[in-house]
Amino acid sequence: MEIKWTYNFKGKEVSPRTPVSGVSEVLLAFNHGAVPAGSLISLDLETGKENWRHDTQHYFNTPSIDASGSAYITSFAGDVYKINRSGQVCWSNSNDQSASDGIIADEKYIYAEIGFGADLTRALSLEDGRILWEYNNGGHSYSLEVCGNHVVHTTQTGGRDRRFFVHCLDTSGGIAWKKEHPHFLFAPLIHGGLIYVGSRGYIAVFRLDDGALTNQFFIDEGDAVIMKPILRSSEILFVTEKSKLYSIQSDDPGACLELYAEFPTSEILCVACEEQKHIVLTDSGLNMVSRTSGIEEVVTFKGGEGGLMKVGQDLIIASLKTVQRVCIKN
Amino acid sequence: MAWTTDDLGRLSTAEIYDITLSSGPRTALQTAIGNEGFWSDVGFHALAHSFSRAPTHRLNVLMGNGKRVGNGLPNLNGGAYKSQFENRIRDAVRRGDTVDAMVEPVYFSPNSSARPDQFRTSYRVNGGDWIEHTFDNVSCTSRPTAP
Repeated sequence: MEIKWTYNFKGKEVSPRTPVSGVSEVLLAFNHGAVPAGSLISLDLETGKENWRHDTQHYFNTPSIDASGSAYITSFAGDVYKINRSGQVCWSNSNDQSASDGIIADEKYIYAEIGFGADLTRALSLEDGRILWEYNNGGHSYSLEVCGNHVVHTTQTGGRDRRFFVHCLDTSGGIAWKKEHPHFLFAPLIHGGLIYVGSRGYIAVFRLDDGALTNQFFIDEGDAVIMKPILRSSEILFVTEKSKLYSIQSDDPGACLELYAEFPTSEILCVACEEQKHIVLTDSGLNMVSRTSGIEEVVTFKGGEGGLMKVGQDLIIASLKTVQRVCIKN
Repeated sequence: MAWTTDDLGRLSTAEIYDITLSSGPRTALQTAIGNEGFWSDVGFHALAHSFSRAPTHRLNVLMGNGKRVGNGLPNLNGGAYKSQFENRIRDAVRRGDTVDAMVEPVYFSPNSSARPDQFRTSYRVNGGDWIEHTFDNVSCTSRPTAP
């Protein structure tokens, strides 16, 4: 593994979100431990030098980036910021409720409220941050997924007697359909006219058109797919809470769920896909996983939270206080 | 958020659903409750104030160990209770998970005071299994002397 640059973030008990690629920069949110605070930093993609940094008084989520390189980011204080490539805040929008990661669709930034008291999905104008529409989803939401004009997310009502829903909106805020489901549903992936979404003990597949439940793929009882499924051409990968990696071939209607790899002593944090193998970041190191060679450990480290992304042939890896651009040699 | 009491009017259970994270200052009531216990006690939030702004009142704040008592361990409030219960919850909420938690103070017979002998905690992430811990609410009647 060749390290091209290293950036060290100063602070105690900090943990990074997944890095996001901009025009010629990497954007990365760090959160501080005991006292809620977050920092969004922009690093030069080639050198790893800090371009700018924006701090806030609560935890940040992962940013989204538009075509011009401007970043949109939500915080647990309920704030949303648009920050341009120079690091200037173009606008901010405050609501008194923790917010999820957002997505950019149809010239809007769309996100949902999370936690106790949450009940809204909200779209803001990319231009000036004003609220374009709000939809009452009834509870805590997991991450949103967009495909064409469809915005899909799952929610649960709060308290002891929970109820679980899948919502499909259009990007104008109208509801296409809403379905109740008997169990937890987490982060959805849309592919081939279907919605793949993890639950406890299985993966549910809904039809995008009308929300009909068309299939269920069962995993171990007591395990769950919380993380958003990962699409690589026609293969979909599912990471479970107990650090198992499953896959299915989405273009085969009769395909079965296949156990691809498992990490019994570590927690899978993030997966990046390559042609013949997958790169898996766990809380104890970086691994290459393929059907032919199984799991090959590339490097071990004392990790915690973190994430990675691919940039050409290189990887940007964020783990604890360190961000590195590395080239994995075959 | 809900609290129940036993027949002596003491906290029996405190529960909280879909925790959000917040911050807030220490209050005079919290300090006063701590002063009602042993010298090594502090006003101890059963449900941390940083969890959905859980209030500081006499059901949620109890006499709990907050200073070292010479047993070689950090105090409960800033040590095990924080690292094994509160911080696990904090980490999960920060990931965007939903977290529910419950705290049950335990009063060993014949303790009829409002100071619990143990705290039993449980939390679950995204509707998974409850993860339980029991913490001794250690005390020391006299300040430990330097070796």
